[in-house]
Amino acid sequence: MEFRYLWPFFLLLLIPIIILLYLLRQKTQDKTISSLYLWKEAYKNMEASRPWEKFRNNVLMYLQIAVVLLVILSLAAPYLKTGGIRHGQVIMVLDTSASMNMDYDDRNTRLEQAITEAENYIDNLSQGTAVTILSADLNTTILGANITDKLEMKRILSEIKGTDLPGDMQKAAAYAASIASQWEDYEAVFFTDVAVEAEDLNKRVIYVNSEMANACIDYVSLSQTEEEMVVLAKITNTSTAAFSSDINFYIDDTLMDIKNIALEAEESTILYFEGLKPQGEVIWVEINEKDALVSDNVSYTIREANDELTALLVTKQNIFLETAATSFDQVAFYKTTQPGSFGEESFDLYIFDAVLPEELPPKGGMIFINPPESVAGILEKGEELANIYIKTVAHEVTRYIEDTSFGVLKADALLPSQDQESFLKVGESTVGLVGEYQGRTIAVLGFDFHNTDFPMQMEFPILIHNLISYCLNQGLVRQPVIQAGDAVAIYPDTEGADIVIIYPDGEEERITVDGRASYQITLPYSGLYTITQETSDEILSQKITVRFPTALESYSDTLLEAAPEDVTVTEGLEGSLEVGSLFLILALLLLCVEWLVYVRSR
Amino acid sequence: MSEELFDGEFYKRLASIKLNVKVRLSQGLSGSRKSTAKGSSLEFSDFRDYLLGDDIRYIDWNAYGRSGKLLVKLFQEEKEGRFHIFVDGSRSMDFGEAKKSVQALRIAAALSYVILANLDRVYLTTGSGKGYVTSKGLTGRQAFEKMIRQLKEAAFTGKNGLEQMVYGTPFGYKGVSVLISDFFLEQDIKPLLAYLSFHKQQIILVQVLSPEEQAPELDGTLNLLDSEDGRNLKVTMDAKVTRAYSRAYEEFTGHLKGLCRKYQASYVFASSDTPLDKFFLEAFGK
Repeated sequence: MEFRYLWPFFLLLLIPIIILLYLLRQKTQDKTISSLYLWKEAYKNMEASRPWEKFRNNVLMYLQIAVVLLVILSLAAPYLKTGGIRHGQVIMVLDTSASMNMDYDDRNTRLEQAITEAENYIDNLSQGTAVTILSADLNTTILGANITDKLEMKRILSEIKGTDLPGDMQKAAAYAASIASQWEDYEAVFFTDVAVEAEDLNKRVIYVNSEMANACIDYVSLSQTEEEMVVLAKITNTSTAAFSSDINFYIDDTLMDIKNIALEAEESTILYFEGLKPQGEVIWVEINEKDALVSDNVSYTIREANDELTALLVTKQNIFLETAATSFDQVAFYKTTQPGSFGEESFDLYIFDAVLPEELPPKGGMIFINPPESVAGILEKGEELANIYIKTVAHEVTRYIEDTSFGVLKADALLPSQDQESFLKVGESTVGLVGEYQGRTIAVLGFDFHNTDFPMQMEFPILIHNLISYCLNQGLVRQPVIQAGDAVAIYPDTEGADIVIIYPDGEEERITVDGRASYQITLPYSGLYTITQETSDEILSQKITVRFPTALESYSDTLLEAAPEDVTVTEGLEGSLEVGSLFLILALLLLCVEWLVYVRSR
Repeated sequence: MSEELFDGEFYKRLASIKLNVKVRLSQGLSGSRKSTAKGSSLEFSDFRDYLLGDDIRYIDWNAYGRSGKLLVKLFQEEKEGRFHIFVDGSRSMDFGEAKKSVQALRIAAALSYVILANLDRVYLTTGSGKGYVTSKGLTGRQAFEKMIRQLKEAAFTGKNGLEQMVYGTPFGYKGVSVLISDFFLEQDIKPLLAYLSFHKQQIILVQVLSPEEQAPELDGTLNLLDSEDGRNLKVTMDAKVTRAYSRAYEEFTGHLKGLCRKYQASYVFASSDTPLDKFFLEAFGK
């Protein structure tokens, strides 16, 4: 026999209390009698010199204790195992990705249903099974390892919260497999809404899918000139039923327009909001109709002020660079062939192509392309490389051009300092790096674009664009719109106070500024965030938005198409015979007996 | 002792009490009780052949004339009875709603009265342990006042004094020993009875118990304290304990009665709340 709950056993404390009450009630009174002669004879085998011997004939007390025990047993929900789950070790993986926030039915979300199923699973576990609980979204996190206390397991489950992050159950399965590799008798059980493929894993998948109506806003985008602003929003019906709703369009908190859409199953549409004056900061669109997933019903974009930035391009002749750089709309480029004295005039960015200035400009970002020699504190050249193949390294400046490679006839290896990060490499050698110099952002490329086929590739202008964006001094955050799960880099004033991130729900997170130039943060929820920092002379504030990963997480029926035969629920696990009510009936019977004994003893 | 111990009502009832003692007295001083010893009193008893040494004054010459045989007339010798009355003066006797001590003293007084009225001799022993008092052999109605005085002064403060009182008494003659006690003795009473029987004493045990001792009405858990030695016993009263007590009580009185049968003693029970005349009627009225 096993018990679903252990807390009622705390009530066992009542038993000593009952005994104590009887002890107190039975306080002895002195009574002088003529002689103990007859009493001794009578009491030869009945002496009650020890307190507990007083209870030898106290049937009422025994009955009361028995009743309390039976009630406690009944409350502990005892059951007899007639099957159930018996494993030495169990790994429970709960999907906390964005799609788990979708409604499962009228009352529960998928995550809530998953937790209910997980609790049901725990109830069916044989006592003593060690359970490791993982949450899985973009990352897999161990929430508790080798727990044998079912109450503790349920407490951990109750604290699980969903995220707006895309999920990666394959990664979680691999993680579970690596944990389970040390065990022979185990089961990995997944509570998720997507298919889990892991052939070598002894797994059970409990799916929490249901077909629910849902539509999402994939993105909101903004295009503006000095006179006009156009906003477009892509809306997709992610369910298999037709969907219609009003779509509200806001600038900051002002409702600007309402449009109606009617979409067939899995149909998308793009709405345009035109004829607008450039205005406001936060542009957002919302689906008016409530559907299964609320988080993907709103999407934001941030309109940046049209303050013109300036850049000085110092190059003798580099048509590739000039073409790529000047396509950057928000920056006014000035070109010179000779680096002179910078004097009063300053630029937001300097690009030195195959030349070095006599003295460094006083402020602004700097990009050095094919520098002729080392510059102390900024770049240090290493060996010369010939006929090499350069590959991009994952970094903010190689965003959208990951896994790009190109050939170079000759290049100079760069020796990155501790604060500098490589983004282009040849084997272990660095040929492209970014870093900080006196609070200014710098980038260095160790080769001449004329010696490579890179400018012929479509990735070239993207890299130049990313480099210019990275090195321009553009406030706290340079990417105001990111996808959930992507890291956002915050560039604070290194002399300023803590960075404060205000979440969409108003919660605040503080990041201590410790001298680093940038801080990488992953924000788990979609919506509008405000990032602020107090400096010595102003309060920097910038809004950023995290977009819901609609393409991955807004579809309700992905699993059913993927692996319909795998769908199971924990109800099938039931293998127990509840015996709690039996104890309750016994307790009632004993109460009747107690009453009879009481009446007879009066 | 209080004045109520022997009030007018008590004396009135004494007159109606007749004691019938089964002992036939054969020794002691002359008295109004007929002795089984043949002797020189006036009451004729029997004849027997003349033996050398017989007093020739008792030869029945008329019979000699008729039969030619020397026959001697036998007369029943009259002797006084010797009674020893022992009143247990232990503290346990001084208990009860109706005190056992009062009943014991009244029984002792009534017995003495009857004995003295029969011109017999009575020895009264009261007190307990080493502090007991034995009267001189009293006889005659005038001695009753002395008896009453001694009884009034009897104290019930000691512990288990009955044995010492009995063993300390010199029994020179056959007689009657009346033991008035609750018989809650540490030692078995058997040696005591054997001792008395050896000294040719007709034994009368008068057991005086209070109603509380016969059927205690106690409740709850009690720490019972012995009045004599202060020892205690914790009991929790319930039906089972009550039954056990009743059984012990019956075994105790049964044991006493058994011993009495063995030593041809008389057992008389006196509840401390029974009126004296009723007690005498039931106990000695046969």
